[in-house]
Amino acid sequence: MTQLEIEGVTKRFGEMEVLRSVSLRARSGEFVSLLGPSGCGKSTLLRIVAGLEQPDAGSIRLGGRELRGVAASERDVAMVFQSFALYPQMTARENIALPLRVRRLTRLQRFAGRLGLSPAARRIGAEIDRQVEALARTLEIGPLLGRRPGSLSGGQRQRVALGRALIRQSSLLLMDEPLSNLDARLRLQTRDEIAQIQRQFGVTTLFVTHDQAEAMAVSDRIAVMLKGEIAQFGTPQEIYRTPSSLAVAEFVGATRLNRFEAVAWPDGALALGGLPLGLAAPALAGQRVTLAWRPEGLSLAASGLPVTVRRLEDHGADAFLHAEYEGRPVAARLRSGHGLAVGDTAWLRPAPEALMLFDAAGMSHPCRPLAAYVHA
Amino acid sequence: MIRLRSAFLRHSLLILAALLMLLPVAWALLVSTRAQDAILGAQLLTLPSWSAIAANYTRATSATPLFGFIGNGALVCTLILFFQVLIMVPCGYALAKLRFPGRDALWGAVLLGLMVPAPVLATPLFVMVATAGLMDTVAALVVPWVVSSLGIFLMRQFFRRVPDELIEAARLDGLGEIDLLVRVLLPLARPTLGAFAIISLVAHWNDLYWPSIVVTSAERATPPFGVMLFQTQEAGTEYGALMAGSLIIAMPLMAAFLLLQRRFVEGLVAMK
Amino acid sequence: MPETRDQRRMGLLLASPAALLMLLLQVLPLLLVLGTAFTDWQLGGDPPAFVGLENFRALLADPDFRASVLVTARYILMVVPGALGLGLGLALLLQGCGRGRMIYQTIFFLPYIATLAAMSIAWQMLLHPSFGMANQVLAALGLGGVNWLRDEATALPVLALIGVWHETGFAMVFFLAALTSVPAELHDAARLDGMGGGWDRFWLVTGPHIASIGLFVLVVLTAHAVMVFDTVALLTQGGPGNATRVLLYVIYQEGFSFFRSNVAATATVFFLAFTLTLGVLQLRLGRTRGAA
Repeated sequence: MTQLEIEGVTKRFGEMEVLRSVSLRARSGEFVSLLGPSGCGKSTLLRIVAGLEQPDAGSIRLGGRELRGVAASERDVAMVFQSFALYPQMTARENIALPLRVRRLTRLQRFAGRLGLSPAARRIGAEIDRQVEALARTLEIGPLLGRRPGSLSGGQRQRVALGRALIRQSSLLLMDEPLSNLDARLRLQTRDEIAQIQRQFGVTTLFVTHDQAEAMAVSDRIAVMLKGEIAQFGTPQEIYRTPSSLAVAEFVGATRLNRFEAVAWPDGALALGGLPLGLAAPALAGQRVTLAWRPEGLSLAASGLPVTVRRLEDHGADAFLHAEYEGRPVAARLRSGHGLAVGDTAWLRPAPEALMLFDAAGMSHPCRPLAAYVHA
Repeated sequence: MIRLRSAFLRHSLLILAALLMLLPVAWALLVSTRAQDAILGAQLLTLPSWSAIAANYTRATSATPLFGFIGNGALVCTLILFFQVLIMVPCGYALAKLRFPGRDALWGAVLLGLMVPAPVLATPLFVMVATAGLMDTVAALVVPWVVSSLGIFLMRQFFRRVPDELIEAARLDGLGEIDLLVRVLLPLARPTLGAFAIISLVAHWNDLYWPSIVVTSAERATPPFGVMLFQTQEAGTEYGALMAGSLIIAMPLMAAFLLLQRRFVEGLVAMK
Repeated sequence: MPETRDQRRMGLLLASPAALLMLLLQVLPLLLVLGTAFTDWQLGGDPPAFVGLENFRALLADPDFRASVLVTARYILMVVPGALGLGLGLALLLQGCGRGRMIYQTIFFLPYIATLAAMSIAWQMLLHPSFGMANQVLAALGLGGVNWLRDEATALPVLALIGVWHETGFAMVFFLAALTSVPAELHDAARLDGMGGGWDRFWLVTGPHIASIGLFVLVVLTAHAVMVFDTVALLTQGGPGNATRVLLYVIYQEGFSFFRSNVAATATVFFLAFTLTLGVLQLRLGRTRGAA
């Protein structure tokens, strides 16, 4: 069931078009990441969904309800901010309770409740307290509820901010780089916890990040945003294995992509440096193409691409080879115990099934095994 | 539409406030451009006459040594600032980066000094100046203020933010302590020093209290004390001239402010 | 510098000029003023004799001194709230004001920089009983003029008005800095938490943020106001009667016109007690502000 529907959203800041007709659909309970480099418009899109910015064109529907003209405070949307944005003068408990107090109590009741004047306010207040306590137990911040943000660590503030966003049980949770203010180790831990909590609560989530490893780890689906457009929307595996364009392939993945320029043969057969790959792309016959492999797509062999070893990284379980092929860098992931030394010549064989093929415009193309060679 | 109206309201209020703020200066300008009989006859909203302007401003500069006041002010402020910087930079560095006996006591004295306002010290300092026979000298105007608690405080806070690695690297490069201070740290401290310079200049240029205690002659008068002298002497009833003189005296600092206003504001805020 | 001996020597060398001068120009005068307050010494008079608390008793019993404390307090109570309120108001107006903000800010801050002694003369012209603008406006309205600086009822309020004029820009600059440092994300968070109205958000986000700076500005303004001198010396000389004889002007007259050093010293000790309290508050507030 579609929960969030973003349709043709466009946004300009002056002359700059930061979002170009962006469309996206998220299913109920789905964890969707907006992944892209800084300045790609992902945060702007998030703020438009939240109602903090107005789009120039396009529409946003949440659970079938059109959000155009609905103020941020009236949308059923919660958000975790990059800086956590906790109210410094309030305790963790008051921070988490605020969204409920604002919605369930009138302004007069809030005031009277504080003075202990209104029995109704006291009853609702006690109920809110119970909910806060329960949520705090889930988030394991129960003992911190009486403290102010100033005396909490980064990770603890993060949880309080998450609590404030979850307490309303809104139908959409937005997160704007919520891990970027944490140190490296805490980031890994928190990232897993966020994924776990999101599944536990089942809340549809839109998560903005520039860190592809983060997006891969937590998301059901990833929307890769480049230059104000969604370049690809798919599962982490799809994004990694079959990127829709060279730009996506280069942005996703922890290491450099190995790229080789080539020309497809007149019959569409593909070869690299005279090495036939046993693949063909008839649609690209005779055209310039780019062949690309991730480092795990290249392996040591008795023959293949001759490369000169420049540097070796041993990671324990596996090893990384940085080499040079025809003056250009090539990286391959090898098993440990490869026996190579710097300066050696080695032969790398590209795995045909791991090939990513792009046309001259950088768009992905399919290729199929070349029957003739297979049988030869 | 609502937005437009609220912007209109906002600017109306701001313009009104600006006019009120400028009113004394505007009125002073008006008075300084009118002849005495026009002023006394309350005919200020007539056209100014060049002759009255010339008469007032010439009279202002001839009745009192106006430019002498400004020169004194510049001399006194420069000397004070020079010695303040000379003393506060090494002291702030020592307090921030070196361990030596008496450091905590000295730091305590600096904090105490921050809280003791100048007028409190003025009462006993006057006795000291008088006993030393220094009344009505440049020394009496300068010496009491050459050590600034605020300056030492600021330099110490600044040097504490300089990473030890930077200092250690410079020492490894063979720089002595004084070289290090002058060649490496002082250039870094320029913004702090600039802000302090502005505070010091504004405070001492505008100070009336201390000069009115130790200065007795027009030759040593600083600008504010000069205004007081002007007002109390014969020419003080020639309002056009008095006003012209006051404006001339207020001019240097106002001009400096208008030129460097962002730094003035930032400096003063940073310091408090 | 690993060799602590060197470090010690260098530290002493660099800090000693400041230490010696502070001893001479700050510590010694403070001791001197505290000492004088317990003697009958007068500049140029007989050698001092210890009189215990006699000076304090006499000063507290002196109706003129008590009046001057009251006058100072009234001045503070007029200037501080005035400058604080106007400063905050102007800062709030300037805060969302795109165009011309820098020009306004410059104009509002100008009175704080302008030499107050010279500006006092400008105010004197503005308030002059015969040709001053204030009375000309009153005359145009068909009302009688007021001799603003020579009337016991108006002299102190007029000085306070000049004080407000002088200090408002100073207060404004601090509020403006505080307002611009309110994190934008806090406002966003408040909107998503259901605080749709600007007024609600002001109390939730902006108010607490500027409250601490407000307290700080309050203390600093009080410290400025208690030291009022220039306008009194130039415009009223403490008069009419004793209507504007503020504390610092009393000290000035006793110490430097009448040369009653012991009385001046005793009054100075009172003055010091008050300003030290403010100073401690200021340092405290400044420090917590820095930590936040």
